[in-house]
This record gives sequence, structure tokens and C-alpha cells, in this order.
Amino acid sequence: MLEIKDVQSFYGEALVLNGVTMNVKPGEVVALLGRNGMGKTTLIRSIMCLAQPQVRAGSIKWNGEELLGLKPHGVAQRKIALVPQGRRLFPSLTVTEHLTMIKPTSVKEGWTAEKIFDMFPRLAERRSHRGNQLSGGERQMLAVGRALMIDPEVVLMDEPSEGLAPVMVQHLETIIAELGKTGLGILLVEQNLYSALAVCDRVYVMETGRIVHEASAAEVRTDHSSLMKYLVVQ
Amino acid sequence: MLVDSFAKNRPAIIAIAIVLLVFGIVPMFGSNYQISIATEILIFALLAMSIDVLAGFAGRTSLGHGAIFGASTYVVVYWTSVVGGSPIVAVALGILAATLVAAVFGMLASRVSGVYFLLLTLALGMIVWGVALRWTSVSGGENGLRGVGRPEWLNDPTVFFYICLGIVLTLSAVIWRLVQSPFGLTLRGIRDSESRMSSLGYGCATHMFIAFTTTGFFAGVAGALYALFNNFVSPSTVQLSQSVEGLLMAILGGIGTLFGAFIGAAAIILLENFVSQYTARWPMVLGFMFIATMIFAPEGVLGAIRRIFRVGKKS
Repeated sequence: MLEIKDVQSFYGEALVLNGVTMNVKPGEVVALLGRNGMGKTTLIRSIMCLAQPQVRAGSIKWNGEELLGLKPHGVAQRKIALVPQGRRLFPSLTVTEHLTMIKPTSVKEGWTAEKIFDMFPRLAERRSHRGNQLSGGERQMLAVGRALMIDPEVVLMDEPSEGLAPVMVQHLETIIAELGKTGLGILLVEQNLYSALAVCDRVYVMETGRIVHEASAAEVRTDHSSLMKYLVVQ
Repeated sequence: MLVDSFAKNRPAIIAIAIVLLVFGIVPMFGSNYQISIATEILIFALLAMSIDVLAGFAGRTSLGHGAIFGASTYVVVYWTSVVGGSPIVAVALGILAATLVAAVFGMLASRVSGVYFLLLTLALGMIVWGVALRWTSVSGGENGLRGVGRPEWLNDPTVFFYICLGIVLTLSAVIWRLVQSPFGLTLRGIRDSESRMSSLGYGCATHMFIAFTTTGFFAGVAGALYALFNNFVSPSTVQLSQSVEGLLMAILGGIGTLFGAFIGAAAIILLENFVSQYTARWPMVLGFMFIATMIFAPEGVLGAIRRIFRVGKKS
């Protein structure tokens, strides 16, 4: 289980996360909602121990082990995968190279390039295209596929539906729901409430660096008026 | 399976076949002087390829590979002339020494990138040059060291040329496999974005250390061959200009193309050897050629050829 407790993160002297506490259990899809600039991506970066922001208080534990102080590759080696905002592919690598770089074709355990191609047939058709030759939807599929290649136990997805066509968002929702059923924990950072509700089990809402609301997805689906004050720009 | 493997390695197979064809016939028609020029081109092409792996695939421009190359040359000449040891052992020790120097360089330089990597490798290369210049009891100082010549069975320039051709082509194939392997892909990933690679679980510093040490091995082989070829070593063999020349060869041929190193090495060595017969200002000619390449073919000669072929295919 991923447990985040009283985390305070700073960019320079600016406090961005102010005592964030939340958790993601195995096989659970947890949505983290909030408007722009509320600290969602900062939390993802804090979990991955990226150079910025600086976490000065609190703890981030994975199956009881403290992650703070590790290098980002140390976090990834503990089976925590990141699907970054904006996909962030490698422009010079082809679709196949993105996947086989992480796990050669000779390895048949866990996620393989062929399994990723089965999940995203569109990528199979584009296997020799470079990262910068793909459409937004294809890039997102590849970003998800690349993250899966490390055989993660939890995936952090930072606004995966951003900039995608509605049909592609629907496809992505199906994939996230299927991944959740395989026992994978997913922390889904979203601005789109409806997209998040389509797949998640639990919802956290973040405002100005704090978790201000927590509810089960079932509760929110019945009545989400209480959430709207945090998500709608007044 | 065989067809797949051929398709994947087709660029390398074609390039190696062309090099074999072009260089293979030199001894049939060329004089001993021309054979020695061709040998020198092969040796420096290997140095340029080792630099290209870092500059073209990992995005790290090294100015220290000349010193690694020269360290191997020093060890080979020292072992054969001062210690009086066997040339085979000397070559092995030279390559080992170069790999160790590269490992030390790599340990320090693998944590930095961009201009810092450039400056750090430059500084490390300068240290090697300083040692070669000042440690006169071992290196011979400015006078350098003269070797005892190649063993008898290697004395014939044609035999030595074919041995160099065999070694360089074999190592070219090895380097090609290296850059096409998952390890090579991670180097390209690091070049594109270190933080992204880190988020995927890669310790970028470790990968860069391995890459630096491995390329140091290839530069070391080139340096050992150069010792047998030139039979003399002095601080000029380890100085900055050696690294710069190797880098220019890689850039001129096409950075990130690997086999462009043969074109770059040929262009520069032929200019040095033939144009210098007509004018003492041959470096100026080299400079103009370099400027023209950067303006008309910034991706290098092989890069430009590839672009033309791609355009031809599309149309």
C-alpha cells in the first residue's frame, strides 16, 4: 500500500503541499481531483522523489518502506510507475524501442511488448513510428504501455485524459478499469470529474496543497454537488 | 528470423560491406604510403566511432577520448621499448590501461551532462597530457618514446593493414550491436531525457559510467593499433587536439550515424596528408570544409546521404 502522511513540499521557499495525507491500496483506482495549480502534479513528483519539489516534512511509504530520500530510479525499481503529464515520450525512439528498451523481447514474464500491442492494437500498427510521429491518443497509449513494462504494482497517472478526443478518453477509461481489475493500484490525477468517476473506487479532492475532501466513488456518483465547489471556477 | 535479423542490421551490413570493398582493394592498387594512410584512417575511424557512441547516442560530447587513446599508445610503446616485453602483451596492457583510465574518467563524468561533461572530460584529458609531459622518467617528456618496431610477422604494411581492417570492422559490428541493444536504447533515452529515464527505473549515472568505460575500451584498441602503426608516442598523442580531431571526424561523417566515422576520418586524414603537400595552410582548408559541411549538411556527410535517400524514396 502507498501511504502518504502529512507531506509538506516546497518549491524554493514556496509551500505547495501542506500536510497531504492519503493512501492507495492494491487493486484500487484512486482519483485525485482538483483545479489547476492545486498541487496534484507536485504530489506525484514528491512520490517519485524527483529533484523538485523538496519534501521537508511527512512521510511517503510503500509497503511500509520510506520512499523519501530515494532517487527516482529507486522509486521506480520498487514497482511504482509514472505516466507523466504530457506523455513525455522519447522523440528519437520508435514505439517498439520504447517498450523493448525496458524489457527485451526475450523476456516473457510480466508485461511484454506483445501484451502491450494486444492491449493497444493501434500501437502495433505504429510500432516503427517514432515518439514524435504519433497522435496525442497514441502517445498516451504508449506512455501507459511504457509504464506497464516495469511490471508495476502501482501506477501514478498524471492527467492522462488531457488533450484527448472524447472517444480516446473513453478507450483510456476502459483500459484503466481493466488494469484496476488485475490488482494494480492506480493513482489517477484528473481535472475531469466525469472521466475519473467512470473508473475510480475512491476520490480525493485537493485544494491549495491540502486534501479537502475524501469520498467513495459510489457516494460521489449519487451526489457530486458537494465536490463541485472545489472543482468549478467561481 | 534470419530475414528479420538481416532487415534490422541492414544499415550495418551495407556499411561494413562498403568499407570492406573500398578499403579491401587499397593494397591491390596502392603503394606502401597509400596503404599506411588507409591504415591510419581505419585506426582513427575506430576512435571517432567510440566518441560517436557518447556524442551521438548518449548526447555527451567527450573531449577526453584522445587522452584515453593516447594512454593505450603510451603503455604499448613503453612495454615494448623500455620493458622489452611482447607486443601482444603490450597491446593487452594498453587496452586494459585505457579502459581503466576511461573508468576513472567515467566515474567522475557520468554524473554531469552538457557543458559540464565537456569541461570535465577536457580537464581530465589535460591531466593525462600533463602527466605525459612532466613524468619524464617514464614518458620521455617532450621527447616522447620510440618503439622497437612491429614484430616481424606484422612488418609488412599490407599484413598490418588487413589485420587493422579485420579488427576495426569486427569492432564496428560490435559497436553497432551495442547501440541497437536495449542498453543502446537506454543511452538514447538518457540523451532525450535523463529524468524520464530515471522515472522508469534507470540509474542514469551507472549507465553513463558503463558507456564511458566501454567506449574507452574501443578508444584503447585504436590507441594500441596506433602504437604499432606509428612506433612513436609523445605528449601530442594525448593532447586535446587528438580528442578534437576524433570529434571532428565523427561530426563530419555524421554524428549518431556510427559508420560516418569512416568518411570523417578519411576526409580529415586525406586532407592532412595530401593537401599539406601543396600548402602549409591545410588546416584552413580543413576549416572551410568543416564550415561548408555545417552549413550544407549539418547532420554530416552520411546523415545527408541518408536524407537524400529518404527524400528519394518518398518522391
